Amino acid sequence: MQAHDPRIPLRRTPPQLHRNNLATAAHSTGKERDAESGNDYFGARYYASTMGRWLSPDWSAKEEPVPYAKLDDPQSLNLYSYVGNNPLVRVDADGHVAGADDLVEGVIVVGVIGAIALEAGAQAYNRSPEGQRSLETFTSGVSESFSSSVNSVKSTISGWFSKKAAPLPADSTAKPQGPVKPADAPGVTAGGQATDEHGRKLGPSGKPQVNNVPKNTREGAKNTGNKGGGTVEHPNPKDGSEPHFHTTRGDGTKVQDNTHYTYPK
Amino acid sequence: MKTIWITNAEVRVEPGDMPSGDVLGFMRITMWASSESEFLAKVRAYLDKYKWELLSTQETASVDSGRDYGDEVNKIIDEISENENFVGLGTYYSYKPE
Repeated sequence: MQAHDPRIPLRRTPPQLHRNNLATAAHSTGKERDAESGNDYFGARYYASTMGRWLSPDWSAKEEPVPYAKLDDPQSLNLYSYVGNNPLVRVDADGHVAGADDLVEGVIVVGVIGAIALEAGAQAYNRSPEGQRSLETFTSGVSESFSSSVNSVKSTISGWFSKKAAPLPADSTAKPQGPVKPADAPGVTAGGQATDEHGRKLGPSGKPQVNNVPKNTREGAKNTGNKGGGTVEHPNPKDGSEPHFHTTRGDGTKVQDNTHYTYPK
Repeated sequence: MKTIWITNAEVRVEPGDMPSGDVLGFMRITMWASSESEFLAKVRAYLDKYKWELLSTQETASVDSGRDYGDEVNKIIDEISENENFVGLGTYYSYKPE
């Protein structure tokens, strides 16, 4: 081994930025990385970080033609793609295709990764003043990357919610209106009985349902139906009170409220 | 101006329409109308729809809000007051032909 020339300052080892030494921070997936193969273990399968692809197709316990696929998201049909080729916004939690549900988690993970990376860079900077230039480059890169990620996430979330949320009606208290039934259309009562266009309940024969009270004679029927709304007149009361009248009920009996209606003068 | 009208109508119904089997009787009918003639025309047209025949009318008048028409008719008037399209039919007091 060659002896060290004392005229030459010792070349300090730059901060260890190799990904294997920053076990979690440097891994955008947030999963444990196998140092030897470079693959990340997600539980359901391995992710090849060097290729950005899964090593095996997605699968599900329940037998499905295309596991976890969503027909409205073509990216989900590719069983080898990682988070629908959108790792800035999405994160895979378990090795199966990530969906919109993973979006928020993805935002958190991106933020945490960025924060940890910055912290790691700052610590390395403090430990190694000679490495400032390279660290500045590194932290600047991380910062820019982080800002870009955050902006991307913001933009995506904004777009996502603008698609998901329907605009509120002018009157937010207004209830959804169904088709309005014309006032003159036949209908059905709350109890399910059919009515005609005038609101009359219809019997089984399809004709208006009315009560029927048989009377012995035509006169009896006529007078019974015609009773009511009349008055019992007392134009010259025996008790000396003012002339008055009483109202009667439909059956012709006096309304027993002792009210004396006086005649107009 | 439309108001609520009432009449005591003698009506011939079809056999089997009433539980008693009677086909002749009287019933109070109320409707909104602009005049007595319009009211009676509407009553006749309504009964015709069900193949009921208007034979005669008595005591036809616009409803007097201060008058007590009896529990049944008062209730019908209350209903029709809230719905101009409503047709109020009272009890059918039937009789056997002499």
